[in-house]
Amino acid sequence: MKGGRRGAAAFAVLAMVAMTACEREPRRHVVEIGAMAYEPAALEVAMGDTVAWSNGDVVPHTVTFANGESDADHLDRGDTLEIVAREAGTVQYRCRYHPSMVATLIVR
Amino acid sequence: MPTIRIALAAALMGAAVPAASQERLDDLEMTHVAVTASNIDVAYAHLALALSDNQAVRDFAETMIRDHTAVNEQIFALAKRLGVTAKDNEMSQKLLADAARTKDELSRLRGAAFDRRYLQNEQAYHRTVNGVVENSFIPNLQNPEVKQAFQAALRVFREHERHAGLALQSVATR
Repeated sequence: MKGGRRGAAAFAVLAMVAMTACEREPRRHVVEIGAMAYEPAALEVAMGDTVAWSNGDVVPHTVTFANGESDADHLDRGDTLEIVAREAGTVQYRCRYHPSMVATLIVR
Repeated sequence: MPTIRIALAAALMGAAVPAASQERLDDLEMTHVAVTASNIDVAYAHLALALSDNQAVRDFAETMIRDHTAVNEQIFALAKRLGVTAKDNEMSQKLLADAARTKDELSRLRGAAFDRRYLQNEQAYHRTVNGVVENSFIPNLQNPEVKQAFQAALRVFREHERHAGLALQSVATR
């Protein structure tokens, strides 16, 4: 995973809280970044699941939450950003570089 | 593998048809035009970073540098892998001559006048080049990998065209 990084602590929007015991095993979901879009554009996950954004596009992108803007979310081609969903809710994120790139993460 | 007449592309660029317009552009010449067009846009962006204090303009310019540099790097990597070199041609030269005039015009402007003119040019430049790439280059490229690279680049440049329009709206309302 070239240039991969973990951003579990980087996003206030997914505040860190102790993960409650859950009966299912946490899953890993992948959002592919390509063709100037996030795919899927809307993703529903469970608390404790990991979401990985993988940039396979020609150009760099970001995965930037409403109140989590940071240079740490810059993804070059081949980079992957992972976070663990810790709080239920629906949040939008976007690419800071490309205004038309927006998507939604739903944590149940 | 001759594919496209310069005359067609030049007409789409709104340019006078060069005298040697009966020549045709092959894959390597179209690649040279695309790389040249990207380099021109990077040069415009550096001018914007030197002359503008507007954050929307500066953000847009930084994206142009970041994206066009990345696209060109991939084209160079593909060319290296294929063992070929992009070929200079009359259309590339025409683009450079037009760009020199535009840079001269832009460099005389300051403040809001510069911001508006820079973004107007960016929107128009991307719209025109995107039209040529979509309607003239991609249908005529022979190498599938090169065609795929152009298709990926076009998606990026379409976003630039939209982005320029949004940024232009933001400076127009200031």
